[in-house]
Amino acid sequence: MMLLLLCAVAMGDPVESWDFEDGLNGFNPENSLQWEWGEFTGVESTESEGRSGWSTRLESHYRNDATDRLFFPTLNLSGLERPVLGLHHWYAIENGSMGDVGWVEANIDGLWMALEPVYGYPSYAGFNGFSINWRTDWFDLSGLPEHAELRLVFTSNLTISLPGWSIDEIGLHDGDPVPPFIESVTTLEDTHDVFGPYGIEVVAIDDLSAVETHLFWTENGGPTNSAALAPVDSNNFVGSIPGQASGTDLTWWVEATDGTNISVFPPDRKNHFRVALPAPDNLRSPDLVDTDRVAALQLELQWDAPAETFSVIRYNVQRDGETVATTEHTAAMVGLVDGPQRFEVIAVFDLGYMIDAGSPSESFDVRGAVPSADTITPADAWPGDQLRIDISGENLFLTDEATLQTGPDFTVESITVIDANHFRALITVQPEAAPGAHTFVIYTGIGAIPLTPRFTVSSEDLRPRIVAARPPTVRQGAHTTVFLELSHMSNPQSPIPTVELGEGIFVEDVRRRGTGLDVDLVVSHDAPLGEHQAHVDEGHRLLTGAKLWVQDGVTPTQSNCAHLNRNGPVGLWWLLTLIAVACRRVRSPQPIKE
Amino acid sequence: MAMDSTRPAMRAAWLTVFWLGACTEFSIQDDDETLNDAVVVVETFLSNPLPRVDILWVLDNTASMTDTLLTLSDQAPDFTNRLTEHEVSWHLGLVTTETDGERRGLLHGNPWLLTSSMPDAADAFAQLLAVDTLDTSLDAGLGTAFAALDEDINRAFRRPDAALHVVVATDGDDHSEAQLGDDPAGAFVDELDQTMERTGLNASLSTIAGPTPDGCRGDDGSALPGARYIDVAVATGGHFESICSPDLRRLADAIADIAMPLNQRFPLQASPAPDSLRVQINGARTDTGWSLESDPPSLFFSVVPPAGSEVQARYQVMAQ
Repeated sequence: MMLLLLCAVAMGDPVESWDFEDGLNGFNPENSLQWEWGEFTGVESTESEGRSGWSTRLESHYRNDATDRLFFPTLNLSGLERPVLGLHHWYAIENGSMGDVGWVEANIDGLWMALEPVYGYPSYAGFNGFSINWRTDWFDLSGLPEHAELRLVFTSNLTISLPGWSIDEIGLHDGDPVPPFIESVTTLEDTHDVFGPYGIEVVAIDDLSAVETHLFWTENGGPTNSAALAPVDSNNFVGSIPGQASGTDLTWWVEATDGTNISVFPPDRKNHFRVALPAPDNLRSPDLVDTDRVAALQLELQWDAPAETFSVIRYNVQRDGETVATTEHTAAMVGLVDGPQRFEVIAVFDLGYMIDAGSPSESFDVRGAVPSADTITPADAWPGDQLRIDISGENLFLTDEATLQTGPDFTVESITVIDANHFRALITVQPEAAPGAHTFVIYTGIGAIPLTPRFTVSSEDLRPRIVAARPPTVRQGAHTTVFLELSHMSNPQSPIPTVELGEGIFVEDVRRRGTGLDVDLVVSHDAPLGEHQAHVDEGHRLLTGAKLWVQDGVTPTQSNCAHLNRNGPVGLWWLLTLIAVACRRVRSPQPIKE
Repeated sequence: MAMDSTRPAMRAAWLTVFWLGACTEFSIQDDDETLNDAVVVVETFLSNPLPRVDILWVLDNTASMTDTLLTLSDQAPDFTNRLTEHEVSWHLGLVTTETDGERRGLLHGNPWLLTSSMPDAADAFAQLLAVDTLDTSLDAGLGTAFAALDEDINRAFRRPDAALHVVVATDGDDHSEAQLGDDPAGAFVDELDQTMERTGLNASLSTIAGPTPDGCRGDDGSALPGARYIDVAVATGGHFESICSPDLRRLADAIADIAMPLNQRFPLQASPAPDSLRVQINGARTDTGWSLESDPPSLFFSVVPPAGSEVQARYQVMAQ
């Protein structure tokens, strides 16, 4: 049960009131050691309270070891059937038997006597401790002289000084302005109990009349429900809120009325409790030790089952409020997204008559970096090609351990990591590689990452290649230029390709010309004779297809062979003529010498 | 005898056929210079391929750095763009001296590893620099950097073929005794020296700090002298920038220069004949400061050619 201070609303208009907004209103301090009038500074006032009033020092805590009294103007009680004083005030005063204290006094027959509030002081000595909120206390002035003299007394001891006592407004009423006093109300805590009911006991009293009490509540902010509390006796009442589904946030309050005035507890009508089945516990990830960050496509989460009697039929794993995995076990693999994200797990229970979800677990915050490989250059090739492909993406965290899985139609010759998000692979497309799209997969320390664009092997016989070397033959010792004709026009903006012609042939310079390359080269005297495969490296693609022949370094006789060759048809004509002459001579009869 | 009378003509005919047939092997349609005695090869090299550098930023994120961090964040694009202009392939990570319970040395941010190939690297770096400040004062920049270079903590940040550059931005001095012992500066210099030895590439520290001996005062506040950081920067050939007037473009220029791997060795296509190798740097013959290595044949410079220079090697090919 909760012991309550007076919380009251709805009193009638006063006969006379002093709000102190514009001045002292006829109130006078005895010695001003404590009481000062002005704008409140050490106390939070709301619109329902004024900005100004009397306070035991405005700019600081009250004085130690000082007593001061604030005298009312003389009250005219004549004609009032039941004069009642309402004191709207706030206090933070040292409590305890030897503490500081404030109270109200009335002059009765020349003697100043303490006046007891209708529902009593919070302590035997008077007002001390902490009011927390602004509150109204009521004093029945019946029996006082028609011209009554009252005063507020505040006294402090030698030690401990607090903000003090502040008076916002004082009213003089007639009749029954005093609402019931709700003395205690059951405290309702968050519960796993979905069956209910959630019992409430209230103790409420009134200074004059019988009390009725009502219970009000809302479910998840919905419409207000109410029920009359049943009286056990004149001051004790019981009632309940019915059972609620798991996940219900309840807001509730109690009202007590004497038929004229109403008291509300709590004054802001905002008592809360939550009905929810239990949450899984200790949500964690074995992938994250001493860190909140992870680079991966997925994350393994583990948790402990809720210790509760109901059986769990599944768990819903949520990422930023959306269910991303469902499992019967206490672990799951969940997809990650880039950036900060929050995971929670909710157990779903079989209650026998219904299925209901419990509270979310404590959240598990993760900084995610999801790897993606979305660029491959070039992305196509022909069977037999040899290529350098550049692969890049984000959050790849590439190291020298990275590998590329391409399938049997390709051979990965080497991999060079450029940076954590970019690597270059030298691959050979098998001559018998199947035409069509192929999926490559990168393996890094953070797992297998499929390349989003697929690699295409073309079926058409348009493979870029070296068509021919002109001249096709060079001699040992030659210092010459060979033109390598390519099947395609290379991009003039790209770097000049490099050329290799095998052992003993040294490339000094390469220049673009038309659809090919002029290659200045030197052939060593001991360059191996025979065919030399030409290789043109365009950066991404390595071209082959033509050969250059190296012949020995014997200098041909320019006067015969070269001449004949230069006049090829003429040489052939000479050959045929010679053969014809020879044959004619063979057929002529010759004398035989005896 | 009749057969004998035909022999001279037949012999002439077959000789002609043989001769012409043999001539087909000499059917070379060229006008090249024939080199009977030697084959001379001229090879030209350009120094300095794309330099690679891994840059670790260590940020003092104590409360007094709030305004300075905003200034640095504003300059983040200047820094990354300048590196791009220098054609530097970079990795960039950032750690803070104040970690708010996070494991010391973990790279900060999301993403926490930036690369020059990222299209939005400048924005990502600006976000990294806009860290939250904390009301603590550990100021253990060297110790934090030391932890961050642990590859088990920050996988893939360090590349084996990249230079290393640590940048410490602070308005105080280092207090890393708890992490690095009695001589934090010495320990950190040793670490960078070992890194250089292991990789053959530069490893240094630059600092954006208060100058010695009096510190400084600027628009974003004042700074104590960062004496220990400056000592490490001097010892490792790094760059100093005043925290009271920082210019990240200047810092990027310095990092690019320091990180540039200057080529010492140029592989040749063939083994030059003895005494036939002639070397020119930017068109000027030089006979000193280099030597010929034999297996594989390469030109090794003990005096490294300047950045961006053209190296030409002309030599006769040695017979096999």
